[in-house]
Amino acid sequence: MKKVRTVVGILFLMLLFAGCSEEPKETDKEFEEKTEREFEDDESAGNGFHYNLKEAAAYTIDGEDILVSYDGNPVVERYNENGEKTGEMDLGGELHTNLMVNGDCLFAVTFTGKGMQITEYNMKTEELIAHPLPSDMTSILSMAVTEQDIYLITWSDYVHSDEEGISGYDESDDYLYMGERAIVIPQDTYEIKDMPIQNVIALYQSTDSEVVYYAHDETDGFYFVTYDSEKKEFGEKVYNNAFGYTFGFAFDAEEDRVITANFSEQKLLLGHLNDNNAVADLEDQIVVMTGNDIKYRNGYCYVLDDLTRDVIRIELESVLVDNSEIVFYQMTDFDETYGCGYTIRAETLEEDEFALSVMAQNSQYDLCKVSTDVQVASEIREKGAFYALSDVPGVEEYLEACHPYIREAATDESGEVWMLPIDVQIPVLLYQEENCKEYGIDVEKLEGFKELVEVADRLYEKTELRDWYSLNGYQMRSNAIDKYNEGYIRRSGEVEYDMPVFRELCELFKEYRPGERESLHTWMTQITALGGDEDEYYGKYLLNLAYFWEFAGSDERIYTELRARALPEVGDEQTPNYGTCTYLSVNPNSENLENTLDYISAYCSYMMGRKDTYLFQEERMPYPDTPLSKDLHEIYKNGGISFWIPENIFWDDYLSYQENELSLDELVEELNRKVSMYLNE
Amino acid sequence: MKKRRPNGKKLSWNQKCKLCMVPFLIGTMLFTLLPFVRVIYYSFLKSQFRKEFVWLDNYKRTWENEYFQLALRNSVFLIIKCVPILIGLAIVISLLLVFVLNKNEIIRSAFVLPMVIPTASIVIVWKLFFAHWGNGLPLYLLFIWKNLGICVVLLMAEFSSIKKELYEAAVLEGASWWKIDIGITLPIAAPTILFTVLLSIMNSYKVFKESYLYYGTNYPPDYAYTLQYYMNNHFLKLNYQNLATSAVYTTILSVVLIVIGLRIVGRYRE
Repeated sequence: MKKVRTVVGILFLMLLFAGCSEEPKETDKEFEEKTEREFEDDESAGNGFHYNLKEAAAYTIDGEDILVSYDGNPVVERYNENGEKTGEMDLGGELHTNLMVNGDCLFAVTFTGKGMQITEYNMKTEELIAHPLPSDMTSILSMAVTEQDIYLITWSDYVHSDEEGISGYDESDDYLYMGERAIVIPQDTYEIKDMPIQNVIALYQSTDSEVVYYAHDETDGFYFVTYDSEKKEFGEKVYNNAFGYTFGFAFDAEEDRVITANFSEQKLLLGHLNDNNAVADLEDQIVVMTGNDIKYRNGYCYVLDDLTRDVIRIELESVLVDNSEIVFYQMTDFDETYGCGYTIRAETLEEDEFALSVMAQNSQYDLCKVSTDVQVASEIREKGAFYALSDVPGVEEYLEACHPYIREAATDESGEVWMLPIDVQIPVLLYQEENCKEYGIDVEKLEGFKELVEVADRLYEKTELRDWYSLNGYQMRSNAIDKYNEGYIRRSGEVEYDMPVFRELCELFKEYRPGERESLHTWMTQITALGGDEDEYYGKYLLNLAYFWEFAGSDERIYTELRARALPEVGDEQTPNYGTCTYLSVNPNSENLENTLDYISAYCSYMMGRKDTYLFQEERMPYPDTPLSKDLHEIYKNGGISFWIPENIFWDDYLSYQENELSLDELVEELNRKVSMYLNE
Repeated sequence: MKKRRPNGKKLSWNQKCKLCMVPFLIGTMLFTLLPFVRVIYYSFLKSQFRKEFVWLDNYKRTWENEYFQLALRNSVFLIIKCVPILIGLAIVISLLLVFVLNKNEIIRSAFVLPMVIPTASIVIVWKLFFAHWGNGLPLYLLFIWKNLGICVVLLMAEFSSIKKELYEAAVLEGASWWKIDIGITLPIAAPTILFTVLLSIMNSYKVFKESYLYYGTNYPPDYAYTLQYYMNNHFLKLNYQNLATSAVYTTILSVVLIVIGLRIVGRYRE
């Protein structure tokens, strides 16, 4: 009996201490060996070969060369694989788009003074044939040319005819029907016919005789379907909702890979036809506007970037990483994080689900992406729920380049790097200096939130100025309270809301109640509403409370026309310009640790190559010599990262105070009690 | 043909009972005891991510924390104030129903109702009635009202099972109604009463859901801040160590109460 008890006891203890070993994981060891590797600080942003073209309008591939057309130019130029110009062809007309090569012939959609035509140019005989297109056809999104037919996706008044089965906006996947129609033009007759495919979005010629369509249906979402132009028949629909709405795509028929561009995220993506989840990023800061701007040929992806109007050639194997999928856990639906060629997937969890995953030492996720405006943001550091990144190649260099307060926030008490900051958003007041001065407003001299809301009142009084400023009352109130919490509570370490500064804030925002005070409104005239008339827009622009992400992709004019300043102080004390930080933190229990740390390293390299961020001490931002850019650099230089005290502690009582259910004294007392409890329990 | 053990002996009643308990014991072992042993293990670590033994530091820190003390005090007060009232009420109502009104079946169902009504709807009604009460009374009343039914049902079952002959003998010997209850009913029902006391104590820990909905915040007024708030808040703060030590303290508190309860029942029955 004693033996049985002993065996049971031993088994019990083995079970108890299973998994409690402090031995480093195999992946840890492997990674430590890897840290010996030199970190390549790649200063040049981007992955591919840039042809360094300017104002390219369209391109196509011919063997190893590319053929390029330009705005307002009848000539199509030929470039070899090194980007050297080797020839040109005059096709006539004013502009050639949707270039395609079939055999010896170059096909283009040509805009002439009279309308659109399909131009067929024999590159050997230099023979030129023009086929006029109907006058109501205003735009061609995509074109494919096989031996027999020309396939088009058109976008015109002609296709807006009422037809059953064509859907409008689909909320579930953001599909929006915008008048696209698939048509086919047989090369022998040039008679225009509809293809029997509804809600078509784009097409791509995958082989000499096959065209792949990308379309949408209301029940199952987005799908790909091939069409054999010889047999005149469609293949099976393959549903894949990984890519969403896109203007164009390329297809690698050998490996069933799809390359496409995400317009809103400005990224080039690669996924597999049959995989609904895993998508890898090929390149960042890419915008593709038409279906023929992405092509795939022999392991290379070619893309015409609408931002730079240059053609980029990317060797897929040099960018793609054959990694086990890296899983992100996040609590907010952030913009997708750049994948640096790694296959990544994000899962959005509720805060308590995330807390449970962390505490249960879940090994199913590799990274968490957190913003410092949620409670667990600081708890990950406090409780050591992270894999220290100090030895990961590239992290030190990256943090060294960032502003000191960012580095400080990324480092815990023991000096370990606990997170990788990837974004900091500081609220700013964007203003047009001359216009504001004309109405007697010196934005730089505004000393407090009271002066700021009074400015809103003054502007609102004049009907003609109402549309030219925006001061979001909710945002201002949140920012003011956050500034008080960070500057007065966290910094001093003492919970004290019974201060004149805080009382004044409460009274101010009770009087200027967000959502009710009409002068604190969120609407403002947009440039698109003026038909893009920048002179009128900047001639009237006054003031706007904004974050950098809201105007990050704007052109140079905004940087030259506008200025920025940080939000005013909440009291006499000078505090940093607080903002929230989004960061990546590695799960110490990740089963995919080696890949994850490699990805962190690659991400640092990617960030170091960026020229559109204010995180760095060195000026690496868009249009660095402009007034706005210099203002922003100064604001970010004097910034600070705030870890928010959970808003739910505040708002119930604050709203009760606003509704006169609580007096100011009672509010202050309650906040002192609750925040003390939160910080000290 | 009755099955026999290899040596030819039949299983005794006790042995059969123990055999039936084996699956339950295995389940308890795997899903309650073993995880709890790991909880104890983690309570001695600095963090579950940094496996450094700090022995009793977490216990000391938790014990010295003013908000843990507040939570513990409130939880104990809830038990001390509410459980005796709840049990007393349940005994009186059960005795009345069994021995005076004799309407077991109908009333039994009525008493179980509070347990099956969704908490959210109860809380809405409670908020209407007790909107401006600045103390813990609404929560105490809610706890008593919600748990009274199950206590009454358990006690009624026990009282109904007591043999009538005992009462008849006592009546013949001229015992009063009060003496019968004190001398016969309560000593016989003592184990069940103890069980309802323990069940009520356990349920007092579970009143968190009602309290959370009633106060609508993680940080209720000081008088309503119980151990469950403390633990829930530390859960959201990823603080496993404080959770673990609080759980151990709560278990110790429960064990102490059980031991005291057993002692009292033992002495009473003697």
